Amino acid sequence: MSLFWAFIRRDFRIAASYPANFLFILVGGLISLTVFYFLSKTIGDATALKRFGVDYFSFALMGIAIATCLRSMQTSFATRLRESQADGSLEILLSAPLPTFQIVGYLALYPIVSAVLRSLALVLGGSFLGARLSLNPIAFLGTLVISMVPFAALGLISAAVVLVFKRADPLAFALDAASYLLCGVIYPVEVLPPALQWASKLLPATYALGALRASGLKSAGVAQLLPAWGALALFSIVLWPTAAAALAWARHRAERTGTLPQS
Amino acid sequence: MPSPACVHFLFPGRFLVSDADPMSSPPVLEVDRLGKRYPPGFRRPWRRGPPNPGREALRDVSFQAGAGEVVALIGPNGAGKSTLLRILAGLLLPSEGSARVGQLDVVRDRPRSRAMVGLALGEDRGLSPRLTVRQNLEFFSALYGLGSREAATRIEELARRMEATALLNRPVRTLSTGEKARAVLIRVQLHRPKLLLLDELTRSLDPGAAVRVRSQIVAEAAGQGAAVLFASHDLMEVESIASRVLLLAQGRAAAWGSYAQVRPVAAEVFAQAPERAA
Repeated sequence: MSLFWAFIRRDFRIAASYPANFLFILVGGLISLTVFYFLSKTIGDATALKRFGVDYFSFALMGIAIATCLRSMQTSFATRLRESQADGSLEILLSAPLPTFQIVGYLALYPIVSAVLRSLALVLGGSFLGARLSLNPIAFLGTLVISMVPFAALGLISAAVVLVFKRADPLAFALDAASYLLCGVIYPVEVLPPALQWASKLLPATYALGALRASGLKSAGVAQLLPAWGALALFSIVLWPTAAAALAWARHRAERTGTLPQS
Repeated sequence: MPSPACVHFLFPGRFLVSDADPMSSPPVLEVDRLGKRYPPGFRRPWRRGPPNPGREALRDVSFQAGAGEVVALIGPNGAGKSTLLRILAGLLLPSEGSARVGQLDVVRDRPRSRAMVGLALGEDRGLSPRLTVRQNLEFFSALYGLGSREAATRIEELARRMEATALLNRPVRTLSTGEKARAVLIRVQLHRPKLLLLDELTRSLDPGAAVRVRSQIVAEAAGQGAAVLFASHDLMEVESIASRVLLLAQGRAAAWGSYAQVRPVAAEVFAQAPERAA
């Protein structure tokens, strides 16, 4: 059995042992869909969305689905690491003959896969309720993969902070909140004041959301998405070496100070 | 510091091992002048008083263990037993010296060297309580690169030897402490490690089961050419299964040899630290 399936299977089995959780996730998703469906009915044709050529429901649906995926990339590494610290299993996992990078990565697999499936279910549910999608599948999938790369790096940096300080990374929460506020998850960036619009350009979520909406709602092709892909690649080039160094340093520090078993 | 009576010294802090190493093959475990000083924690600028100097947990510890050999690690609480086990498992960096398991350096050759080791910690929480013993063991088999079929056979085989077949399909959260210890012992042997590191694992077993499990561990180690290093406060257990004993006191190797050789020094060490001995 590959490590990929071993982690997925283990974490699915653990999740399945709490059946009520699945129900809560389902109900939560349905509530989100319903809220944005009726909000869209209330708003009608918003002028701020003319650029996208869709109604508010389709716009928000795509935003929430994408944000669910990206948020899981950004938070799952640290969250799962923290859980393993707290339940005492981390030391045993890290005593396996695998690099720290790999262990932390595999730990986050299940929540990430589960977030992708939740996003897919949201989009499918939204389609039944009348969301108008115009998908360019290749461009959309390509953008999704390229978008997830810098967010994974942010997630690994966050995991390094957790490994050292044994607390959730406040920077990750701030970044997550800023992404929701500034990057156009449930409203377009254009409605923000100019200063905030400028600030949004410093966050990878802005480029990811813009490109994914373009390929998911307007069938934008790869050529149109290249500027956003370039920006996301730039974030990755800066963030990945930082993440690798941060995680290696964090493990080294924990092993030097003997804090690995501490929770 | 206790007197070094009955103990072989090569020079201070380093024990002669060649006379006690009957194996012709290279040792499974080689520990050479190993030391560990925990550095001081973060110093808050607003805190007054002298800076925290850190803590020396191990100093100048050297010994070897050959294939099939069972070595006991004894000493009062805080003597450095867990620190030594964690260094050998590749979970803690030594400050000085080196250690090799199956010819691999536990620092330089990480993470490969970890494949040589089976680690069971005191109060081991490596098994997920929500899963059955079998599901946990399948997961750890994959972690150590065992194929599904090989893992299934190995799990059944080890469960039979550890008297744990009836436990395989039970969720870990329903197991008693002793039953959990058996599941952990299966986990550490899944990948046929060259070195078993056991931190007081049989203490929660009932006396009869402890005797049987101990003999199984010894037989398993001998059969696979593995060495066992186990930390224990149970001197009867040490006497019954350990071929050699390493006594640690305040991070130093106070004695090394057979149980009979180490016992007088151990009595002195434990008498000096009555409030810390278990």
